[in-house]
Amino acid sequence: MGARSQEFSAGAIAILPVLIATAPVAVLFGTLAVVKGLSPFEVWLMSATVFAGALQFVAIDQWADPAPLGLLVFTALVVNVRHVLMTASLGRSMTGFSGPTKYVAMFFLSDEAWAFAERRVREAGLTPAYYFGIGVSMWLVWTSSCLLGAVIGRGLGDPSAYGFNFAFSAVFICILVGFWSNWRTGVVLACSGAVSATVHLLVPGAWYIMAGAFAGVGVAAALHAEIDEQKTDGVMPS
Amino acid sequence: MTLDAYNMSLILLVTLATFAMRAGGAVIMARAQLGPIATAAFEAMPVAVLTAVAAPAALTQGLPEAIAGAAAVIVGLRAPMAVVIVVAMATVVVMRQVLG
Repeated sequence: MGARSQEFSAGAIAILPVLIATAPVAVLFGTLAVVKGLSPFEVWLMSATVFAGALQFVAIDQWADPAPLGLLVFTALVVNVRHVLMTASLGRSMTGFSGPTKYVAMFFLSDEAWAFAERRVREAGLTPAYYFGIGVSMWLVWTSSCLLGAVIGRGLGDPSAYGFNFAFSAVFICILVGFWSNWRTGVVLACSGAVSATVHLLVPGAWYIMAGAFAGVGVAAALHAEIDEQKTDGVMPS
Repeated sequence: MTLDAYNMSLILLVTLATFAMRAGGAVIMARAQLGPIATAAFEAMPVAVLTAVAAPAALTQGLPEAIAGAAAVIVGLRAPMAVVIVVAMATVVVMRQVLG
């Protein structure tokens, strides 16, 4: 195997646990979408082009006949605005990607793909082949499972009854544990988590992600400014 | 197979909105020169964003989810991800039964 196909396989193997957890959720999406009046082809098309788990569930929840166009586009912007932060961060580590490749890569971005890519950045550096190993395998599993759900209909019941919805939280927690470096990580984590959970309880919609993210990033910047001041005072930063 | 022009254009528009957000970060950052504080902020972004995505599911859904989140942290310190997922899912299901 060449270096590229090795990297591609490494990405696909790393994301495998997520793929297994994704499939039942995608099947559920397919069944819900068909109930709302979409044809199986439309379900497949939406999964293949929009390719956004959380947004697709929100969109299908708001779906009516005719579907509210303005509301759905606005929802897409709000629910996915977190990806601006994710790609702004990951983009700094995509030095091995050519211009066009970078934008193709962004099409395959999901929360999970992003989290695994950031982890790879810290462990070995991110190659395009590794990233596409993650992204393409997720795309294949997501689209085929959504279509399967749309065709077979209500067969499997609700995946959340088996804890499948919590599988994604477990993945994110697992990756966060690996991101720990020092006490500053803990401060960022605590601020982000507290603000995100609070806003989630108080404000409807997906704003909690932006609120928590900015709280965490803000406190990181503040901590750094503090260290700069200490340096000028001749005190060594811890 | 049904082809509905209205649904097709709606899916296309939602796709464009989604892609705009995904490409947006890379476009904004392509030419940015960051000072030390902005660099520190960007280095914290993966932890901050990931925590913000995951925190409500673990902290606001109820005791079974909170316990499963704690279990995921503890098991995640040592075990591979597949094990963490299975333990977390099992904890949620069992705790829902126990605390039900």
